[in-house]
Amino acid sequence: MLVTKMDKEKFDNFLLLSSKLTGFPKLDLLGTGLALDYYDLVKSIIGDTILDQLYNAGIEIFSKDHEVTLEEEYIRDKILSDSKFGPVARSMIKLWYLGQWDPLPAGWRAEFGSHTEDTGRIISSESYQEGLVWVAIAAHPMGAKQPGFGSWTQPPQKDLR
Amino acid sequence: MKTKVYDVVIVGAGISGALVADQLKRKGRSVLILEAGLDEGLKPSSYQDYLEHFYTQEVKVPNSPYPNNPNAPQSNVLDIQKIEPGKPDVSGYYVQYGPLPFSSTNTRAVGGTTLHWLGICLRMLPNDFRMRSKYGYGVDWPLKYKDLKSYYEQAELEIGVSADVEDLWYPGTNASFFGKGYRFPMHKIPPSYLDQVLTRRLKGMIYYDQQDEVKIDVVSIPQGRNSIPNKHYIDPRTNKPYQPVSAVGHPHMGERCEGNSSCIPICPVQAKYNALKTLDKAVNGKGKGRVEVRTQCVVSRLEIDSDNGKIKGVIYQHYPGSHKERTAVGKCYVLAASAIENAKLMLASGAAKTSGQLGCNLMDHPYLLTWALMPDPVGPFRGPFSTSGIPSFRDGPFRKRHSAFRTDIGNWGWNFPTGAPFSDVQLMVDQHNLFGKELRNQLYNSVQKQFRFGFLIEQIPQTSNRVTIDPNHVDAMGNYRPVIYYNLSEYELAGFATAKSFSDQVFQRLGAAQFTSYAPSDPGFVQYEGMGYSFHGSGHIVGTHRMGNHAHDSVVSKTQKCWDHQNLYLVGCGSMPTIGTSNPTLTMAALALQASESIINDLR
Repeated sequence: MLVTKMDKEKFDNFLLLSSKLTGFPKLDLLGTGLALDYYDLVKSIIGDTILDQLYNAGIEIFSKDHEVTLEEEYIRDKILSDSKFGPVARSMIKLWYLGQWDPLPAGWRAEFGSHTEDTGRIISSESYQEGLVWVAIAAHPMGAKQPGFGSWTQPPQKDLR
Repeated sequence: MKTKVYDVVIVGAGISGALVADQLKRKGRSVLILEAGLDEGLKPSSYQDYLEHFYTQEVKVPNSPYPNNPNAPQSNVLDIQKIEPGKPDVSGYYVQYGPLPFSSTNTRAVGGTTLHWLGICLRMLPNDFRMRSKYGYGVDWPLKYKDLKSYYEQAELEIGVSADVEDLWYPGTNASFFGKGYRFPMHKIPPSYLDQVLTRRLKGMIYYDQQDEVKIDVVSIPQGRNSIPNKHYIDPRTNKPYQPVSAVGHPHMGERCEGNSSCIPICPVQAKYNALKTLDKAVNGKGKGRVEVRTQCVVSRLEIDSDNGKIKGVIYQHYPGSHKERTAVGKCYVLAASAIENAKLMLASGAAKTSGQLGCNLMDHPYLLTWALMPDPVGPFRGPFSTSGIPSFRDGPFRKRHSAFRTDIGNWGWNFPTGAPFSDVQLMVDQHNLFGKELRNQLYNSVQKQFRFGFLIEQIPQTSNRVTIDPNHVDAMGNYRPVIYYNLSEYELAGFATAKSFSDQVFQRLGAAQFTSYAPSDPGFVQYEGMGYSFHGSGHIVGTHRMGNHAHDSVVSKTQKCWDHQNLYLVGCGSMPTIGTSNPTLTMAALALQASESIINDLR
């Protein structure tokens, strides 16, 4: 539950960051029905402080309009290549794409703290089914969201962008 | 208390046991089925539990939906590893002495391995039944194709097979293979977009296997999954048009394949046949007899009458509880617990010693994968695992030199060889350092072009490939674990070489970028003429109690009656003298139906 205004703001930051990292619009992320679960999970694993710092590291692009190539470079410079934020960002991308949490590297945990929830697993049957990878490859989750009899005879969908 | 005597006691609630039980029930017989596993699956809610379990497994393998049960443990492909010489691998259920790992698994639960089978229903070819006399390898069957033909037809009805005869072509066959006017109960499962691309691009291709010209054809695969009923097919059991069999407990679900792309390990809607359907019919359907299924009953051995060799009872333990030994008694007994479990039970009982063949001749289709990126998107990860194949190498004069093989065209990209698309995400995020829209683009462009072949290589029977038992290796209930010795011969390795060379030529023709790689660290890595290959299991566990014409060289007769024990039948893939290139379930079903007739005769 997001009670306070600050909670809502932080959740919104999480969504915006997730959107930049995954390449999916916020609406698609909300459409999985899992955004809040993922926010809570990441928050519990890395803690409020690091999550705030992570968002602040990218604050300039999240608050202003930048040219796309610069934005990409900025995210690489400030987040993906950062020893504190990079591993978290990569686990977040995989969380959205696969519905799975990939544990943070041992070195990260030694330096920034470890949490019991930081274990490798598929979060839930919903998270598996809502993995963005299936949308990205123009398919459906194997074993779910059945496309219907004979659908496989049709030519592949074009890139969904 | 007086022990109830059933007409027939069956061990194993998989497809063979279910088919035999159903046939006997129709003839008014009383049947007890003892099943080691749980009865999950017969109830719609617990089938759903299987599905939920599957969703949350990080690595999705054939037994992922079906939890391991320590009282009736099962093998898992995740346990397969390289075997060090002289040191058995005991990490899984199998005790593997190698030298190569036996990589196929089965499921110990009601419904058996049909819970995770693929559903391909190919008949064996006429020459498969005479390998020794025609090609000088393996053995001849005590049966000819034409002896099994009517049972194949019956099996295609019981399973519910979808195919159109006019689409089918196999080497070494003519119009009499199916016979004039034959139809399948349902029309074919429509071919995938990828099948259509390959059909067009491989049209007219000839492969030269030394001096033999092999004509390459892409052909639809008959499947045990529901499609559109053929209105000209009249169900001989009802004299009415065929009605697809829906999911157990869900009368309006599963009458068509919905393209869940998950045949292995679990069809969410049960459009794919599984033995639960036959069991449900046998237990709850019409018929004068009675079929009782008792689950959580692990059979440990048979009790043999030392005077006449007849079976007196089946000893089993129930769990949970005291594990006290109990005895089930019948006039006739059927072991239908899979090739490995049948052999194990017979060995544990000191049974069928005459031929020396019990447990021997374990076979599989060693499965070779090749993979490539197509020039354009082909729409993978949609529809059944495989809807078409290339049957061209299933029979021909080359069988004097190397294994025949069946080629399947995989509809799920590189899922089998690399674990795509999960592995692609891992690779692109962790190694290629991609994120955002570029990650999306690259995933689309790479995964959409993924294509793979799978080659099911015919393995020739060898006595040294075998299942045995060892008192040092028992499970939690004190029952034997299977001890396995397994290797491949030059004949199969030469088959790998031909398959790979054929695949290379196809990739060249398609302009597909080769990505196939075999690593010496792969559990199934083998070398042949300077080249390395890695094989997997096909889940086709065959041999161990071969049928034959004589008691001195085979375990069962052509009706699967045990030579040494005249009221005992060993049914299942274990009875097959050779494996051919067909996925074996349809043949197993045909043989079970044939055995049922013999059992009914014996009981008269």
